[in-house]
Amino acid sequence: MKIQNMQFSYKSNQIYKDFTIEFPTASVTAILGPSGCGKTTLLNILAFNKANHVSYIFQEPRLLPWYTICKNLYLVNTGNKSERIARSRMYLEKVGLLNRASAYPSDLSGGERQRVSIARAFSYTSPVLLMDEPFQSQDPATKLQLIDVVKKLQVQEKRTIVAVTHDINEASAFADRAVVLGGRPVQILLDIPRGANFERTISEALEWAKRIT
Amino acid sequence: MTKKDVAAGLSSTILLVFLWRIAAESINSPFILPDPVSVVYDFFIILRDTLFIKNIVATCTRGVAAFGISFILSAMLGIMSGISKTIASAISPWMTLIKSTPVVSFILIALLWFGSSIVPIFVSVLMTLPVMTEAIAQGVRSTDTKLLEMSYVYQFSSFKRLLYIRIPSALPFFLAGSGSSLGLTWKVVVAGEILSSPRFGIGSAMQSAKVQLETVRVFSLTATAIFLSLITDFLFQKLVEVTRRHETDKEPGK
Repeated sequence: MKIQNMQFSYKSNQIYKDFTIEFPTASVTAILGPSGCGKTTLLNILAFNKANHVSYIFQEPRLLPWYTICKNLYLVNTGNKSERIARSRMYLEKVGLLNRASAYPSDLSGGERQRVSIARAFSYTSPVLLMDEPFQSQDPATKLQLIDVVKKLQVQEKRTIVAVTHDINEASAFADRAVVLGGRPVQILLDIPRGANFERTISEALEWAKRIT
Repeated sequence: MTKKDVAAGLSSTILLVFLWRIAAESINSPFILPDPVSVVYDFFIILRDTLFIKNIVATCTRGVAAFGISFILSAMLGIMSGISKTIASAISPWMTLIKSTPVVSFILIALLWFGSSIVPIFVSVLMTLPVMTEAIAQGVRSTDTKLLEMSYVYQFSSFKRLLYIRIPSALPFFLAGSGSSLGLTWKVVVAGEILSSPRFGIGSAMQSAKVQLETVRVFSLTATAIFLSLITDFLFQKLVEVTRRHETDKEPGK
């Protein structure tokens, strides 16, 4: 997926000007930057463009509270009824929640609900998967579990993942590339492939981003 | 409801009946205020009357028809005006007109237009329509925007969004609005029957009892209307509870 010469203004502020970025197929890119720099804006532009076919894991699970978790997955799946049910159940199994298939979101813990939301995103047949700080509101143990779930699914599914985060540890836990954004209009300050000193390079780039944003 | 609430409600009801009894005894004229015991007695007498059953069936049929028509119309208008501000603004003057017109004016006008058995239905629909439409529109408008965003990302069609997100969101409002409209329906249907005097109906029976100065009968018929309202109200409350069960958790992320 590629964005070329993107323009975006909000209340006469030019946020993005001639912004270009590419996300190679099956790569996991972490987008970092100071808060309010336009990371989520970038995701939303990708998500709400009708031409794009994307899954989205939001900060909150955003499940429909009046349906079972299985039906929540069912609603984003395509095919005939039995195919959709089978696919929903398969992805619930992948995130370890098949035994709760007929539970309602309110019966689950916060971490479990986010697992359902991850299952929903992967069960939706889109090449690209967007994430907006999906682990932010979870406690550290749950966070690790969720990251694990995403990593496992990604190994099997090979989707193109674009994840916004402000947490360096999170980025280094599952991304194979980190892009640090900053400035006005927003620019790519540093595009860091996974390698030695991955975390330290990100952290230095972030410091720089904070100074200029 | 706790035991204390039940006790409070029960004792205030007993007090009311007691005050009624004292008032009836001191007035000492069953034409003006009959004794509660004689009203209960009369209630059991009319229960055995086949004419009374016909009256109840007629009133219930009108109530159900009125409520059904109002339900369908307000669902359509409410959903449309909940989704589109333009439609909401367009129907708002109609609703204001209906809301500010006295009920009796509608009854008189309807008497000129329709047969007497249609009048109570027509008037009842007009009375409940604005209440239900507004409740449903509010429900549709209160749909969580985060869920709507989710539905856009996952490319729900407009119909799918309506069916799986907007309508379930509006359902509790829908039911609450319906509950209050139901009470209003009985009142307006009976009032319409009193003024239009169709052949059968609780209101028609009340009207003829009044003409014959059977005050006890007016009271026992009133009690019947109250029971109808209480029964339907109770059933609706139950329905609302069932639909709200999975709705306690508006923000699934928290």
